[in-house]
Amino acid sequence: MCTMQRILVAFDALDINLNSLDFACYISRLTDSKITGVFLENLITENKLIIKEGYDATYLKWGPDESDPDYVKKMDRFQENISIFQNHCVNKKSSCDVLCKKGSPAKELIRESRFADLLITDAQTCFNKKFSGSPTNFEKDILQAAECPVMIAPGHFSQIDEIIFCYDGSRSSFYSIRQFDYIFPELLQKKVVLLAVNFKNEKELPEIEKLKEWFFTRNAQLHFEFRHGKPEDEINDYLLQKNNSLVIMGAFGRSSLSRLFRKTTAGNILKSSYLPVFITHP
Amino acid sequence: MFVKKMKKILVVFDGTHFSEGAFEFTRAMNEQQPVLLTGVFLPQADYAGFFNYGDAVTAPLYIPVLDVNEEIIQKNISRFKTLCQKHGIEHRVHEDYLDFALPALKKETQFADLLIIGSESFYNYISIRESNEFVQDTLHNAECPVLVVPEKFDFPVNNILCYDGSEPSVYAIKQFAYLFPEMTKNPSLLIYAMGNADTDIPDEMNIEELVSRHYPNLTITRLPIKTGKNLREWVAEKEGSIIISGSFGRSMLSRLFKNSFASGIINDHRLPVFIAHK
Repeated sequence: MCTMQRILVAFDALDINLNSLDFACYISRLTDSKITGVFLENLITENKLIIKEGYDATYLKWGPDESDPDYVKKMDRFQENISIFQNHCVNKKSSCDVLCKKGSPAKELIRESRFADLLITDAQTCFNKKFSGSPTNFEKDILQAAECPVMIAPGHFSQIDEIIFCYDGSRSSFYSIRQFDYIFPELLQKKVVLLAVNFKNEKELPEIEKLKEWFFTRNAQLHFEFRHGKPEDEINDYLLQKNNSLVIMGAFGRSSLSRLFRKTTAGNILKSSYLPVFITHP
Repeated sequence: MFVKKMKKILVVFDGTHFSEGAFEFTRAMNEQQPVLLTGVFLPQADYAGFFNYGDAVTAPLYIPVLDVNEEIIQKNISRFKTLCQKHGIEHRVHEDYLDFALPALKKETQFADLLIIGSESFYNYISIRESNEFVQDTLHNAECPVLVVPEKFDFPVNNILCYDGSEPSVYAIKQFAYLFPEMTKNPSLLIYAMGNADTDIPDEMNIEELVSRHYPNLTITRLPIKTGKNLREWVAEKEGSIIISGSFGRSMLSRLFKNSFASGIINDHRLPVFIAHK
């Protein structure tokens, strides 16, 4: 019944994150899917005018200096990371393949995401060091422009016991859980907590009847958690107490107003990325 | 442990016409995987302002209910209930059809997996050549994938995936696979209906990689055609197929075929068409 998914895992080509690889292997086993490692590097910043010596003439070329020892070292590290990835996948009994992409990281990844069911990456991946802090600019680009759902891998991961669904009645918050269910149909059988901020009780939640009906069709047990206060603080606060949970956020919506709110919400959670976060938007 | 899972499906009937096709399709789907079916019965006068009504700023707050034949609607509702019971389909009905403001339908689609409309019943009101405002409005506004079903059809045993390299076309192919995993095993044909016979399919490796995982029985083909006419002829030979298409109005295909590709097929060959866009 379950079809195989195409799952991409994005790594910094020079600095492979083993935590997110572990997480990706878990997801791969869960969905019985092959994972595709995308190794990204930012060669554009490496490009410079170099003098090349040919057989009979010397010429100028714009591109990475292939004879530069730093460059060679970089390439070696890149190859090393690819074999780390492959060995790790074999050890974890996940099937994998590798996709090497050169050029601007975010742009390439977005292109690839069109042809994927899920993109896994981590909050620390940072290509351009001048955009420091997490989420880096790279992440923000991906979250907004990816053409498939994005899963932010946690810093440390053991298992998933509980799904936390952040709901604010918006179009994208429900959209995200629907997409989540399509990709991970079995995960909604775990405990599902609906986290809402600034609603007094169940009855106040927008479209609660429709929501419950949908969860009924998925045979999911829905628990409610109500918080009051500033949404991003409250969500953060709640998630800090949690272990082994997966967070579903319908973030980065279309309207500018909701974007502003949700951007901060998702941003804060990513900063403290100890839980996996699933993000998509219509 | 066997877990009972269902699809949540909306089916829209216009007030006086009961679309046998839409119901038949749902019944066949229910046999593959149980569905929770919500029947929405709309008074026919509502078409004009279908999704626009309730736009508080611009639209007048007035519902143009002109000629609602309550008796017929009631008859249709009870027919719907009887049929559902007969075939063991779990169902709900929006009885308050007179107050059922149309933005509510839009809201409803947010919480559904699929919206089914019986196309012919809507085409009854409109000359065949002109595209149908209702269908177009629905497709543009629905927040879940839409399935347009003709009155008479064979339940699909083939999938025709329309690919043009664009995001919506890939999105639709993915969504169909998520929604109908049981149908992805059927023979599937990915068509790239652009350019000439020797035009490369954009991102051919990537799309093959993705689609062959979801649709194991896959053939990829190029259709070197310039007008929609040929494609329609070609589609006519394929009995019992479902067409999976990205968008309805703005796609590359519509530019190619002058009239929308999907629209042409709905009109001429009456194949069910699955349309999804973000």
